[in-house]
Amino acid sequence: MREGPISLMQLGQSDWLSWIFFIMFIMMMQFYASRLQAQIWISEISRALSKLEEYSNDSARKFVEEASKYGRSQDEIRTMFEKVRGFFLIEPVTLDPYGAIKRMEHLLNVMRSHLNATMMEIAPKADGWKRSNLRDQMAGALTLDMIYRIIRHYFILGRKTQNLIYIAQIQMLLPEIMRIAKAYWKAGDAFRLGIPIGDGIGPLVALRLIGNAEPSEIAENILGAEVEIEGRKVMVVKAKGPGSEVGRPGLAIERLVEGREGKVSLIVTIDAASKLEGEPTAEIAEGIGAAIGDPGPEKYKIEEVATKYGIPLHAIVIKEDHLDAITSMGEEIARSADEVIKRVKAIIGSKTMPGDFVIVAGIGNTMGVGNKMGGA
Amino acid sequence: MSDGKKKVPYGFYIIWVLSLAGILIISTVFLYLGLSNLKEITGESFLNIIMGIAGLGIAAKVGYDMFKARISLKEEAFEVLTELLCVICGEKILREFKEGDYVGKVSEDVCPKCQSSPSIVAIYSRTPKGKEKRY
Repeated sequence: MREGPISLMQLGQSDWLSWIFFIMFIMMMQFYASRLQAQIWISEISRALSKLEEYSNDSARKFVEEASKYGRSQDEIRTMFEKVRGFFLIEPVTLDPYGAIKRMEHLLNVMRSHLNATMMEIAPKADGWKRSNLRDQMAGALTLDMIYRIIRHYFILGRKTQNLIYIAQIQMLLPEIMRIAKAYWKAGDAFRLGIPIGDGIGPLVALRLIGNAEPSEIAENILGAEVEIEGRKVMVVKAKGPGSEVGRPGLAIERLVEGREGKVSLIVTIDAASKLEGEPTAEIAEGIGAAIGDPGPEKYKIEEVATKYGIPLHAIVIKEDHLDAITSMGEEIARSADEVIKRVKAIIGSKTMPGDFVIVAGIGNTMGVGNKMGGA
Repeated sequence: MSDGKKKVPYGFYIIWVLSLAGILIISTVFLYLGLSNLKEITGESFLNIIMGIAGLGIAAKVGYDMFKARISLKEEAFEVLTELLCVICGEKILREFKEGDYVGKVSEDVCPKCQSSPSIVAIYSRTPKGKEKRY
């Protein structure tokens, strides 16, 4: 042994004591390392859970505050909101897939009517535009509530059972879950103020194409205006704005095509699409098919009617993070509209002949995007 | 858009700072013990140096985690802008978004060049320079 001022190894006067401590430490780590890890993860989840609760309560509070400006007191709205908490849609059975799309369409129609009726009760004095914004603001608050409940479930389950698998699963997904939650929380402000969201790029392009032309309603919350592009008659279709609506573009396109007995040369759909990590935001891509991200019925209608009459289906998508799609539209996405218009014109010019009839549909949520330039 | 002030869990920071200080002190002691006997290298002094370095590493990791947690608690600011275009003279105007604005609307603003009413041609959000991260 050396002679030094202090030596921790000499505290026990002999080496064997150090060895005992060392072996005890190793044994403890052997038996308790996983528990220690679980505790660290549980504390991380606990912190995230407080943040999620904060997001959920804040968005619910903002919704109640905003809705209370339209005919009901905050207490009344809070009571109604509590009733809607945990609202769900049971997807149709697909064990026998026959008619699943029709059943899904029916359920979606019922859900839409139910939410609209609920909103009518909550904000009786709001106009249609504001009511649809409030409806989707409430949907965001409900989603946050659901995220919070799910994380809380796994957190309590993991703490109760000390099961590392439950805890690890949720801890590893936490960064993505928090990103999604934060996006929904931020989306609340966009819906409250009526700011266009990333998903609105399709309707924005449609509006630019419509210009000053007079639109008319073709289907539920869907408008269309006929314009001339490169000598072709182009029916530009978009959801009815400037409230938060996506409408039923599939039904509108089906009606247009059937109304012309299939005499349509081309259908072009424009929509926002999820980008892969590494791809630049607002990158434009072209493809074949119906660019529409609905649960199924609307896309089915477009594909069905196009197949029935042999109409080519072209799609233009604007790539964005799926979180950009629900928060206020970024500058680069808004700026991409000009390039998309050029691409639409190029497709129409190369795939059709002058005098042909073409349908161009701007798919997505039209919040903050009107129906014609220089008017609502 | 201005984000409201968020509650910061100070207790959490205090625990973290105390653990960081504790780890730093212990690892410095170990390093001192190891380095003060460098002339006659023994197994013990070697172990002290290793433990000291490991302790500093852990302290650095704890500090980094704390720094990261602080960043994630801050809400990034972003601004929403409305772009107007005067169809008469082609003048472009950029201003802050106002509730009731929507693309296509004829604005109540007045074109600074020709005094006519410009139309809203775009509404978008932008993060102020140096704060580009949105999520």
